[in-house]
Amino acid sequence: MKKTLSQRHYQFLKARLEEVQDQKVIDENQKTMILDQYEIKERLDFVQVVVTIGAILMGLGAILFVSSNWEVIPNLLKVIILWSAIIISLGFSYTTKKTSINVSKALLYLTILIFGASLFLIDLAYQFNIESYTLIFIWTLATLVLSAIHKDVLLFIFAHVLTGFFILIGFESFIFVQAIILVGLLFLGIDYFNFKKLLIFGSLTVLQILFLYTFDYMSVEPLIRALFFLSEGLILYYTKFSSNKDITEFSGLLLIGAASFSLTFPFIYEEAFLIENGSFISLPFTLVLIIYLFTLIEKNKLTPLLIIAVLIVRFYADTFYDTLPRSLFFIIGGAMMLGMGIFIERRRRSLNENH
Amino acid sequence: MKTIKAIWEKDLYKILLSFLALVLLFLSLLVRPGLTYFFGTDITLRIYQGDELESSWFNILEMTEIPFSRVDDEIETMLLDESTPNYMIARNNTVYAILDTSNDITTIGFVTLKTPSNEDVYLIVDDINLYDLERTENGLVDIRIDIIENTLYQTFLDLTQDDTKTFTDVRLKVRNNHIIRINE
Repeated sequence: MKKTLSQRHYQFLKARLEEVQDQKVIDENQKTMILDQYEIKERLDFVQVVVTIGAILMGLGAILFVSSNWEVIPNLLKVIILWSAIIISLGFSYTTKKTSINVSKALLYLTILIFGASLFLIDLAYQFNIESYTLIFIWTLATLVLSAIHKDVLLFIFAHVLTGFFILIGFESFIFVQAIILVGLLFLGIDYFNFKKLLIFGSLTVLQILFLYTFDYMSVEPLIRALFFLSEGLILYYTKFSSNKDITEFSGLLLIGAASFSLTFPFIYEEAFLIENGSFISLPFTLVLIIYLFTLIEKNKLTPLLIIAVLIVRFYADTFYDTLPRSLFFIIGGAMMLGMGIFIERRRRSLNENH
Repeated sequence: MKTIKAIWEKDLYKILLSFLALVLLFLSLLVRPGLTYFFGTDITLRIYQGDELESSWFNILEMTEIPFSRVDDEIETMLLDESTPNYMIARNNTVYAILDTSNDITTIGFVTLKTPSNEDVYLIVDDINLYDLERTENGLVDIRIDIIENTLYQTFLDLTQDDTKTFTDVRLKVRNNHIIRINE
């Protein structure tokens, strides 16, 4: 199969080959053999462009027509329209698989989007009054099934996003069973998709949302929540996982950072122990935390440096927001962040060089 | 046999499986409405609009005396007074309902009235579990129902004044949490 070149590049190559042929570096045959490996890319056909624009306009017109008349369309016709769109999209995804894999995948993604929209629109049309989180649950299951059948990572990532939404929307409702099923499937998928780092990180993130939901549902004290996440972060960081240790370490550090950040606020202790001044606990904790983070920096970790930077900004804002004039507060704050940014970037580079 | 094998090898099965999965998941939408249709509970529901919900007050009420007309007044105001945003009226007023002889009502919630093409009046109720249930001394359950303004606005506009006056005494067929048929 010949490689395609633009007209300009082809002419350039041809001119260069003629030059070297004149210099007797290559002969006529060699020049022809090299040129034969390339062909000029066909220029965009004017008619093709017009037809494509026409098709897009027709499609847009059809969508606008349907959407503007959606209310008056009989319910059965709504179902037919939506399912026709799903079938067409899925069908074209199959037929384009051999010719253009990207188009095929795009159509598969479109299918799952139309399916999600269908769930909401049909629920609305027939007034099933099914809760939004239940609809998202069904949508997530569909996404997971399609990602498994087609072994598509992007769909699987989308399922993570949907699961996150599902739990967030379901706050204050009883969704434990569905949430545990979805999170379980996401973790099973990590193995199915060959332990991709992004998927491990995504699944761990969704798991944290599930924990947050659980704590919120059970009205667990903020202090207990923070301590739980801190412990989980330490476990993730220090456990010697056989593979993908870097991503579990990173997730662990993020959890340690987030939990520790909340533990630096005095009110969290004041609420938990019913004391007037929680600073007696929060300040020693912050000192211990910073010492601990510095020990991690010594081990050539960059994330603890970021956590320290966030802590500095938090204490600066807490202490000076009310006392300093606004302009001065922002100038100093900006300068601090700039300085920290440069320092962290230098550190990152030096770490990269060492590696 | 060869054809089936060829289709299988051409990955068509993946598309068919995907389609089947989507259809099955889509059909799961029908599970709850189906269950409520076949195993729904009959309850009697009255609607009353007032400022307070007092159990003792409900105890002395005869079911037939619970005035729907006060709701009707609001509807008339809503329909006639165009200068005021309709939904504001609906939002600022809480509609109360009493349900009796039913333990299975915890998924009933907002109330809307609707006149479909066959001119039967329907009441749609949903999400009662968001609100506190109180069982009164005589076994009635008092339920505070907030009208969702948009639905109310859209559905009430279809009603004429004559329609609203018919809402005095209603017997409702509750399909657990969805459509309730009103027998006048």
